[in-house]
Amino acid sequence: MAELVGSGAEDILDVDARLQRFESLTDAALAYLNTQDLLAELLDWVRESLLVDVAAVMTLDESGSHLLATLARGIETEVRRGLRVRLGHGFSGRVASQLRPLTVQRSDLEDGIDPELRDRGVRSLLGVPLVANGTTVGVLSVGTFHERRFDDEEIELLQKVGDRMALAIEATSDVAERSAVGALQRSLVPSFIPPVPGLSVAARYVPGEGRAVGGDWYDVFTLPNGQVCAAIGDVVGHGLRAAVVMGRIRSALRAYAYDGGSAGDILVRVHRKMRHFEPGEMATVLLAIFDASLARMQWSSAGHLPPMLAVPGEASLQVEVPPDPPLGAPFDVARRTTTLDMPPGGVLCLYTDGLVERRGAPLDDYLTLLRETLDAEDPEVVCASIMSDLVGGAEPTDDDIALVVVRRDPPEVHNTVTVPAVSASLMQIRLAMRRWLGSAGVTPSDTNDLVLAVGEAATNVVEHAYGAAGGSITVDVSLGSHEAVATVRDTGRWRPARGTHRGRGMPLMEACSDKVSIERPDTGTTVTIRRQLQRSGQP
Amino acid sequence: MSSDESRPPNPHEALVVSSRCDGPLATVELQGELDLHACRRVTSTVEEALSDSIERLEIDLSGLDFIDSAGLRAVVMARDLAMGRQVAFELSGVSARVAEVIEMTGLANTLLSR
Repeated sequence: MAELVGSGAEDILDVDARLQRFESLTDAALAYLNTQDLLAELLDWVRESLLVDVAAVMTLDESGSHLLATLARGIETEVRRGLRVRLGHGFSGRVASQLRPLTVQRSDLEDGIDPELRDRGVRSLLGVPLVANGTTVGVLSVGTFHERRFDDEEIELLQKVGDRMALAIEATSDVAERSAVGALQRSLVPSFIPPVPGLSVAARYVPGEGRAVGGDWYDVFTLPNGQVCAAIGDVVGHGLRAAVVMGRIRSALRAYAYDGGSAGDILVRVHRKMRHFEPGEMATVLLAIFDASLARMQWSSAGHLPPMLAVPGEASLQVEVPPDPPLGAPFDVARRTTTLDMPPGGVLCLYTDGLVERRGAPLDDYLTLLRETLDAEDPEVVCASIMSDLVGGAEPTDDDIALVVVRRDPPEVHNTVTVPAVSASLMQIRLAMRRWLGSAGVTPSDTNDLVLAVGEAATNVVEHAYGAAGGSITVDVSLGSHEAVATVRDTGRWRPARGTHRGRGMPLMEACSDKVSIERPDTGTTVTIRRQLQRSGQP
Repeated sequence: MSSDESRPPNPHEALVVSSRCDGPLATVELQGELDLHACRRVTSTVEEALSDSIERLEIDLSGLDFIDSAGLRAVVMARDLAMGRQVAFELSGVSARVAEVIEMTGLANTLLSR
């Protein structure tokens, strides 16, 4: 049994007994304490058992370059002040970088005690690295206000406590990171995709099994002129950092898309922004932009897997989008934009590699399976069958899966949209009508007149139907083989027009249609507009 | 100059309104779709364009894809504003469709010179 060196050693238990107490303490603690309480308990125990004045735990911060004071006894203010030490600097920094116990027994040594601690009266220090599963997570150190030598037994004891702490810290940061990544991921994947008249959208996001969380994302959003953007991407790497980068790319993509330009131009700008603000990060992205009519789309691929397309009555196919390098790749390139006509009922499928990559299975097998599973159906049905055929039943996937399915809706007999009775809604009504009529093959001349006539009725509702409380407008367009019947309904009360240059709406409505009728019961106003159609034939 | 004008117009807006001055000629260009929602923007741009030195106001509609009666009301108001200051008024770039809508609203004599 080694002797205990240092003052006050006589009246304490021998090392074996202390070790025994420590074992029982951690066993009991395991059962019910959270990490913070466990560290506090162990720190108190260390202070008592080793008869030291101060004890502190410093943990490695997210950057991996600094230690942050996490918990302390005797020097609590250092924790409150957020004491940070660079790795390799100061006492704790040297313990962490050298990965072995260190002692400072005399306060006058160079490379000695950190000024903050010396100011607090600390004269001797012992520190041990906290290492769990080969990863350095921090430093545990103790100190005394008098000069003291720590012996091997004491060093060994402190290291044992440190090992126990390291396991607890590592487990927590793992859990904390995973739950943070999960929360971030959930906040970044749209929980609700705003309804776009004429377009159906369904999407899935499934986090991977194991630790491979974060990095995949998708987004669907509209622009003020009626363009609809669908994007999918995969950030290289995993964990919190990948999820944060993903969030930044998503925001940048929305902002640059809002500023205008082709799909390729937008990706060029996101790429430049990433190279400046997130150097070293890379991501594959596919951006597809639908025209306001939804009849045509343009896209650009930053090294992403090719989209799949299903058209009613035809075999599904893999669309060859020429891939340019991933965003953030260490060079600038011109990015190509290609276009594609989207027939009514056409279904576009965007996905990340987690859907089609399996260990030990060729990529082509899964790409083929995906193509064969894809049908020109309702996107919710399509998503469900893709997930069931490619993911369900098989062994769990390691990687995240993101899947977006978008359909240009086929022509419907009845088409309805309800919007707030505000002037900004007039554009929305026109967009919806052009999509419905375009999908049904109505001629541009008929479409222009119907859109104008319905717009006049809707403008009337915006200007006159409601008071300050506001209300809504419902537009319904029914398409027969030779006639279109549009109704514009409100639930307000008609108010007379004021001001000059008014009253031209009604003549315009009549000039653009074959018959206009207005019903005005107490419950609101319904304007019905009928027009014979020159069908250009089903598209 | 308003703060709106110092910002580049969003290319995705339903209507992009821009104005320029060339000596005594002020040109207000409308691109996109002119309905009730954009009327006020057009009127305020015209008001700002009509400074003291201006003798002629041109409204360029060559980039206009859609206009309705509320939009035409804004054009007529622009004309009234110009006339009220003894500024000559002219519409340019009137497409067949816009001319058709002007005819349907009975404004051909007011807006279209022949």
